[in-house]
Amino acid sequence: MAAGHKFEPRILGFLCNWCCYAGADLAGVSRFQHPPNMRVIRLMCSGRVDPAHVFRAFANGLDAVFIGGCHLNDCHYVTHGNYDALAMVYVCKKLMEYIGLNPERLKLEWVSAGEGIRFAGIMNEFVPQIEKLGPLGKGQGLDEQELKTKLEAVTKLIPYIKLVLSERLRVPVRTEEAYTEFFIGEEFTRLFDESIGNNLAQYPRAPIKKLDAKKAAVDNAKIDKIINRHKGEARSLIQVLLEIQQENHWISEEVLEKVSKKMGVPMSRIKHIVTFHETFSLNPGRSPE
Amino acid sequence: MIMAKQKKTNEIFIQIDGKKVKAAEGMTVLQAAQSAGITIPTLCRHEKLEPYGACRICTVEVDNRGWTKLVASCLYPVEQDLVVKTRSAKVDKIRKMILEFLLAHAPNSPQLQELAEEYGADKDRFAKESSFCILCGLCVRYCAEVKKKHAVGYVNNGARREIRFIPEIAAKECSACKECFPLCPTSYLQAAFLLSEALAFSKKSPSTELIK
Amino acid sequence: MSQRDPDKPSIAVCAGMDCLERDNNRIIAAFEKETDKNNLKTKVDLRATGCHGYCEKGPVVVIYPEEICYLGVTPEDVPEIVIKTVLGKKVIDRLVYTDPDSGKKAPYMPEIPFYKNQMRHLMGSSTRIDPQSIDDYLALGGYAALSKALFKMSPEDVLDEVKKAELRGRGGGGFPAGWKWKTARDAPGKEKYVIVNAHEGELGAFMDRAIFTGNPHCVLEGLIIGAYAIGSHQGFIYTRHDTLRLKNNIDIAIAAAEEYGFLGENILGSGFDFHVEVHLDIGIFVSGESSALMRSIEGNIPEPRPKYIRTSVSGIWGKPSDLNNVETWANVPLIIDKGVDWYTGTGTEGSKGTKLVSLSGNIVNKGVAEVPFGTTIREIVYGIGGGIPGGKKLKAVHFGGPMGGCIPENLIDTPLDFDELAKLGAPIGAGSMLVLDEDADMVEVTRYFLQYLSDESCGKCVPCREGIRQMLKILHNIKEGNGKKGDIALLEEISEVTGAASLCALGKTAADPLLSTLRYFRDEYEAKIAQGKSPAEKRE
Repeated sequence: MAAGHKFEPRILGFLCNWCCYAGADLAGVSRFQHPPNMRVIRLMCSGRVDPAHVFRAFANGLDAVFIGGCHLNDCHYVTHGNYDALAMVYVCKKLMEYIGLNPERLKLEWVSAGEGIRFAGIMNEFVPQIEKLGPLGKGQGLDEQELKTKLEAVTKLIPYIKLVLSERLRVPVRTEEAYTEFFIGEEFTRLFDESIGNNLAQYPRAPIKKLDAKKAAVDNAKIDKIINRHKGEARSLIQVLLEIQQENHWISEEVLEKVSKKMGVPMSRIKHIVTFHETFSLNPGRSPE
Repeated sequence: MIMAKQKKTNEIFIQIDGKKVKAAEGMTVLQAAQSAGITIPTLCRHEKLEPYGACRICTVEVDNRGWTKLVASCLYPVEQDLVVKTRSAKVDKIRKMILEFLLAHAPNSPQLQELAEEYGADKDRFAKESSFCILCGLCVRYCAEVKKKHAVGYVNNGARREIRFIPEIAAKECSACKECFPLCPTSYLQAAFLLSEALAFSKKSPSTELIK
Repeated sequence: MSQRDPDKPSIAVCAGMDCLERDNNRIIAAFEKETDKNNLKTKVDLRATGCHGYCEKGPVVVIYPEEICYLGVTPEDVPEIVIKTVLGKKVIDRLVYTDPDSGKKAPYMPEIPFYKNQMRHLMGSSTRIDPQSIDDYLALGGYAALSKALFKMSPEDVLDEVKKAELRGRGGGGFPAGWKWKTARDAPGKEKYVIVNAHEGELGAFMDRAIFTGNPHCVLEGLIIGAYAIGSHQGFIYTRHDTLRLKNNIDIAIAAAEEYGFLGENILGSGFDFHVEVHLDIGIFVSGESSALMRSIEGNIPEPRPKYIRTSVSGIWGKPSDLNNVETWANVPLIIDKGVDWYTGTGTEGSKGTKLVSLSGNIVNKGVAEVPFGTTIREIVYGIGGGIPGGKKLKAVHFGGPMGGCIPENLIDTPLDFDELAKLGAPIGAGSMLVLDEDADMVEVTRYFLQYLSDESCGKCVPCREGIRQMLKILHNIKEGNGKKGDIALLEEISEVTGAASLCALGKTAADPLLSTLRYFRDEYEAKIAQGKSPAEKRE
């Protein structure tokens, strides 16, 4: 009988020093049994956890992330950092959904210093839950390379996401009801999709598909001819771009750069013109008008 | 050119809020008001840049030859005997609503908050918009007119308009410069810059295809 | 000039945009074959002409000199037409116009109600001209006006004539062309420009295309005369990048005019130089706005600027630039040729001459028509348009597309007139008439126009960009049945701000359809908000 290699989830836990860490400690000292799968990082407040930490954990192959903090309104600090943790976790879960990771792999719990039993109970539920989900990626049928690229995309966008979070996804009142109402609501989904989702979708993925060489072929000689016909005068910029679009049915980034150089017009002006209306196609593969 | 030198021979007199103001030919109403110590709110104006006329919050009432109209004072040229009202029921209504439009995008902007208080604008009048850029164009115009680098520009039209950095230029120029950052009334410029850094990979290999 | 005999027998096949879509290329080919077969090549002229206007009944074929008009022609009808009508001079009954009520037939063009009730000063020639032949235009007296202007009149005389004729802009502004010309003429600077605005972005307007594609020389002639009057030596024709046939015809016309000496250096030996350049647009509606258009010609993004300093004083590259609409330019040769008294004999006190209108929507005869100002809307809708299909009742006629307003049924005895229509909140605009029947949802019509403007606005200024955004949200909610109390008041408040503070006409008039429908059909909005469905929808 072959001994099956049982999957042991590797979980990273961020526990706040004042409440949750003490609670976890109490669980250990009191010998409340719970699975040992969590590696703990102690920090001073759950609000310190950054989305970058969460996604670095996943990028390093960890199967789940746990964040433990003080109960709401009991935060040791005047800033009520645990509310920030709450908001951050909502956003992280949405991000995980977006890239195809099960959001249950990220858990946020409030545990006070005296709640040793509670801590053990949480671990006794969480670890089997992750066992069932299986290892990261493979457990959900995600291609390793694809997952890596997606995590990379999210990681790169985190500085931007944090700004969006503080500017547009702030909840004015620090109460559990207000936070729940906002983050479960339609408005959050809309704002997230428009400002973060759209940009995630634009992140270039690893070359999986080579462009159809024929469709994408840019005849440089023809481009030069068009520019020269208009004597390379900046005032004919729009006419030149229209002719190139007519000729090739799309305009590549390289061609835009060439036009910018040869006609002496800034790239920003060209970019604005070609995005001003659907007339111009910046991707190959659109059928000719 | 709008910024004309004051010449004795081209002096004209206009009236702003009942006060007689001396102005020179070629000046705008806003410049004339400023010279007389009268404040008109602006959002897209900067002394180093050509007037833009996009925010419209500098709208004032002018009266000339019996016709009253509402104009952008940063662009309207002074004329002899022009009568200007920088505040009125109509003007205030316009400013209040412009602020409310913009607060739906950037309620945390200090400039907007200050003006909102003065004009009684309600930041929650309109539903939250996802973009916190108010498209004042200060960054784009500063980089084009003062630095002449054109590292950041506009893309798209209408309600889809946004600012975007040109990655190749931004990579070379911005870290050493960032002079436009303090001009931004919101923190969107910073966000756009971070976004551009994040997406900059797309320029690497010609065979990469963007996901739409 | 040409030695053509204008009464020579000819076959005119309409090759306007609509008829082209109905396959009349095959009809033209069939005629070529049949006339060849019957040895008629030299005896009968075959022409693919510009739009005849009767788009609903296309493909249209007219046989001259009898002016027999055949409607809904198919390639299979062609051999019979050639034998029976061209050779045999007999009318084929099944192909002529039949009155839907009396059953009476009207084989001749001047008898057909659609044509009979029009005054086709501009469009009339379109059926006799191959737009790619300058000789056809000359045969009908073309370029006589230019000749008269250059040799018998001074530039000031020409300008004076146009002023006295009270020619008002046909593109939507209604601004007196003569005054605009004078401002450009008097503006300091030797370099001046004249521009033909052939952009025609207004939804539902297709008459500029019809006249320009069908008779490009009449517009060109007007432009040259205008340039002479203003003192301009460089002209621009700004047209759409997506109407290739129009661009083709313009290019051919310019080349032919240059060849015949009507364009270029020393025109007709008069000493006057004038060149014309064609510029294509990006495709966005806002680039039809005069200051945006001029920026586009400069190679910049078509963003409007406030016109505190008129474009006729400072336009393209800061030089005085006179911009007029296609139809406005087309009127100029008529004024010079036939004189002010003739011209001002048509029309009303404030609006002289004729106007091209394009009929669309819930109307029997969709197409392009030309009527004298003063014709009532009722006469146009019923006398020319043939009324409402399906026997339905008329609800309103919408003028001016996304920047216009509607005239409700009870006001359709209003005459077509710049000022009369403007007073009712429905300025004539470029002349598009969208006819709406009793089932039309006025809230939806408004929302549709506003959505169009949202897609086509430049987005530079806050009132337009944000105002339209917010108004659309509210209208969308009302449409979905989620309207709430206070929505109409909020819409009106936003309209006030967009109307007063926007940078250009697009923003300023964006809310006009809304205000117009609120003025005459407020109950539909209220009902939708109160119950979630409009009275019109409930009837279904």
